[in-house]
Amino acid sequence: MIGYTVSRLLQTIPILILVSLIAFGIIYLIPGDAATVIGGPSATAEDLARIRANLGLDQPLLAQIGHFYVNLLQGDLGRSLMLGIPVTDAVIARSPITISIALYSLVLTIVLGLSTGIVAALNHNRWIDQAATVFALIGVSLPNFWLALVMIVLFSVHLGWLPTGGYVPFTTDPIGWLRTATLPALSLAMLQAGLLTRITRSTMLEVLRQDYIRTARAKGVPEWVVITRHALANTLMPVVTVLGLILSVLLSGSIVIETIFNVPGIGSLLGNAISNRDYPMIQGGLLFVTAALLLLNLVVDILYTWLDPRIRVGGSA
Amino acid sequence: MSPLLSLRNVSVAFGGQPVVRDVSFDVASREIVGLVGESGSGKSVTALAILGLLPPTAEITGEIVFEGRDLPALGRRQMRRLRGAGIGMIFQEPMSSLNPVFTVGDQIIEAIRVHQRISRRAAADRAVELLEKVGIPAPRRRLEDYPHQMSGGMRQRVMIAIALSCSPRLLIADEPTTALDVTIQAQLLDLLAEVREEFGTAVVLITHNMGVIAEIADRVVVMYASRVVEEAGVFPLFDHPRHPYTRGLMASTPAMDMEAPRLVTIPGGTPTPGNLPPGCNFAPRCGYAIPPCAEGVPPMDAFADGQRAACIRARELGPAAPR
Repeated sequence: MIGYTVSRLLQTIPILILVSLIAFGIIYLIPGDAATVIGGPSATAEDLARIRANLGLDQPLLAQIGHFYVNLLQGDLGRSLMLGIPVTDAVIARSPITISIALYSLVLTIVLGLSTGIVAALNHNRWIDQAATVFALIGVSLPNFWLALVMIVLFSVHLGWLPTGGYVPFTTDPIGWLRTATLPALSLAMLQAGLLTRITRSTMLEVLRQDYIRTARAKGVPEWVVITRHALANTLMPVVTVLGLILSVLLSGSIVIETIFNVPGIGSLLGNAISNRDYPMIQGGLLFVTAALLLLNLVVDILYTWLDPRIRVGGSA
Repeated sequence: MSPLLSLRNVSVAFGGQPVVRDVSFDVASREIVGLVGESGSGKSVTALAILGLLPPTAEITGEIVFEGRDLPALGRRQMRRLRGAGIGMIFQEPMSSLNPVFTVGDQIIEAIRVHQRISRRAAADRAVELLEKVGIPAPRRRLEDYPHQMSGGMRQRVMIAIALSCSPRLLIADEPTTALDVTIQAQLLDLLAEVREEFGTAVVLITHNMGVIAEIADRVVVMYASRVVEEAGVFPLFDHPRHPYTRGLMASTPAMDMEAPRLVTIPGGTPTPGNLPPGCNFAPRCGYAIPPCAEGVPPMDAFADGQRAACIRARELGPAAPR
């Protein structure tokens, strides 16, 4: 178990190195000279030299890579061209917003997906099951930006229940946070909830056919305990494996969603950085998102082994 | 004295398709009744019908009376209280019958606490006692084990411990030894016989193995293609089977002292439930069949010694000569 955790931790190192190299290389993907592109047509020769010095482009390639990693290890990702502040500061300032919405969205996904999936499995082939399957299919098929726009029109413009955008930090006003975060979180959650519904439903159906469920019933265990204890514990394992996948889609989906709802998170920061060619910012955002995803997947994997005693305890008689 | 369990004309159908027809037999207190038949003969479905464990799509008719109560008429709640407490059941597949994510102790303790209001600690003590009874060494330590840490024989012992946890009056064992090694099989059969002696539990033992029946059953009910074809005490049955199917079963069971080197088989195969022949189900495979056999389902014919057989020629043919 500990050995597994350590080896799993070590596996993330090469991935991080690879991604950081890609992040470093972004600046060279720009056609022509990066400084000219960034500076624009009105840039003077001095401006270009300043930009080059700022990006370190005037140094030899190896020195640039060396610098990049030395700075990276110190948490220095350079200075944003657009905002004029250190990239690290911007990322640190914006990340709690994205993380709070992603977690909220994850909770919505789990609650919606698990409950719909379980209810569908328990009513296999009845109309509730079919309704849930249709719900899941719709959730999976609708693009989340379209769903976000429809929800704004419905809940904000027509019904006036929730604001059309903006963001209030949870620490200043929890109710305000809930009002601003619900629509972004929900529009992110719908697609994932559809996916989770389908996985939960099919896993639950499979589990309910197992011999140990029949054993539990033969013991006289009440049906709801059979479902919530015996069946659910076994259903959760495959569900936990897809949580990592779900989280990664939630994070990458936040770029579009945060832009639509005007939420100042990592997503909109990265979106703006891309449209403004703020390369240091793109590098920083990319590294942050990748590191966060690696960490989350690591947690999910460890959680999985902890849930399954066949892996956790190991050994057979 | 009225029997502990009594089945009268029990039929089970799925989607209008009968898989068990007109099954009637009794089980007395402390009696071990063997329910024998090939796979697909309806033995397991009969057992699951007794416990009310068939899927809701099953249509059950007839009477299943346990301690004076008609089970199919009981409410879900009453039926649930009876499961585990009045009737315990063990299954064929010890490898998959225990929940892989809970410890063995958890699963025994749960069985106890579902029916008895006692503390977890007291239930754990009882679980240790039960594991000791079913012959598991170092039982206190084994409580913490997960099923995957145990062998098949051990798991089946745990299943028996679970089934016995609330001292049921009846234990239904559905092919409990089929998936296990021969040596382990013998040990488990001894254990079942001990259970009857010690707890006074009646046992319905479902099997396709005549050797298992000879070992511990008092009485035998033989099923063929969804119906009971013969019922007798274990000695009369082995001594002089009256139904041609039972005769065939006996002849095809290899014995150490048999002179014929060739194994006798019953020609043909078991008909599927949707494809039953008219009249006697066994007629097409029966060496004694005559035209009237195809005309109607033969009624149960009771003999003076209590033996019963569903064959219109049973009297005419007489008891089979002892081997």
